[in-house]
Amino acid sequence: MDSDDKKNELHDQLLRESFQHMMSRYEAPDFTAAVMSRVSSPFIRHRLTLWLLKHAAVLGLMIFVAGLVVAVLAVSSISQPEFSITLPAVSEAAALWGIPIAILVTLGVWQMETA
Amino acid sequence: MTDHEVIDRVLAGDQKAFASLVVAYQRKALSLAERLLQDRPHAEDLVQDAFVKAYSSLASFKRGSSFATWFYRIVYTTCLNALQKQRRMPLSEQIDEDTNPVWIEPSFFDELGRAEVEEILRDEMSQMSPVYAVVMELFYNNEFSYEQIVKITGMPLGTVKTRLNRGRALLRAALMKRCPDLEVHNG
Repeated sequence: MDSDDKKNELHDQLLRESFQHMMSRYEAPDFTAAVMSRVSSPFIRHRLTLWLLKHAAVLGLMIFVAGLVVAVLAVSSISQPEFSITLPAVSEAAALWGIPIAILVTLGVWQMETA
Repeated sequence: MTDHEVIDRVLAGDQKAFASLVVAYQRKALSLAERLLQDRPHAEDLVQDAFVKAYSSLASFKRGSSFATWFYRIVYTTCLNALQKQRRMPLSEQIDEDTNPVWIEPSFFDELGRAEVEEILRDEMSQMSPVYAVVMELFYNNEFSYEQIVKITGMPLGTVKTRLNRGRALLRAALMKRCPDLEVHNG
């Protein structure tokens, strides 16, 4: 605190008291019980579960990358690798309907994520 | 029992001991969250989330530090993250950092009476931009020092002081409106 602040300590003290007197409206009935019921859930108690949930995205990415490396190494050991992709038999009409449906689903997911 | 003793008990397996921390900090945490979010039910949800986060990361709490500062930092970041998700981040206006300090003189309390000052304070704080209201709340209600507010909010010290001064100026202007004849000498 600098000297200016010290000089006005009394002004601040009165304001502090008023702020703290207003706190009575912040009574939230059952708040403690609600928090305690959340912290006592077995889900929260298991730190490993929480840790896994928190780092799920990174863990998933690591597993994916590890899988990819293994696949690349496995394929590279084959002298003449051959790939063939067979597309499912879809009619043109179904494929055309698929585009707006895919757009709608994407928009819906985006809306939910940003709500 | 001190906060550190309660934390030791919780970490030793006495889960119910955590309730005493909830009781001790809920009001001020709710008040802080409401200032930021300006929405009471949402504030209650997020303060609950903050308590759960604090509980689950209690083992990482550093012994030498203050639980209050650590916990209010969790509350503050939880609320800011929620506002960011909703794209409702409070915007601050450009303020000159060299403005003269403003104070709420005791004469306001003498003239208006404590009840009326509190009524004005309540009205003004509910309308005040969260940018200033949060710093006012942390300084006056939670009695945090400037340095603690810097730790909680991550704002530079100059910004904390400027926003606090701006908050006081808004409050003083509201008080002056109620008693324009009052002769007060600022500074």
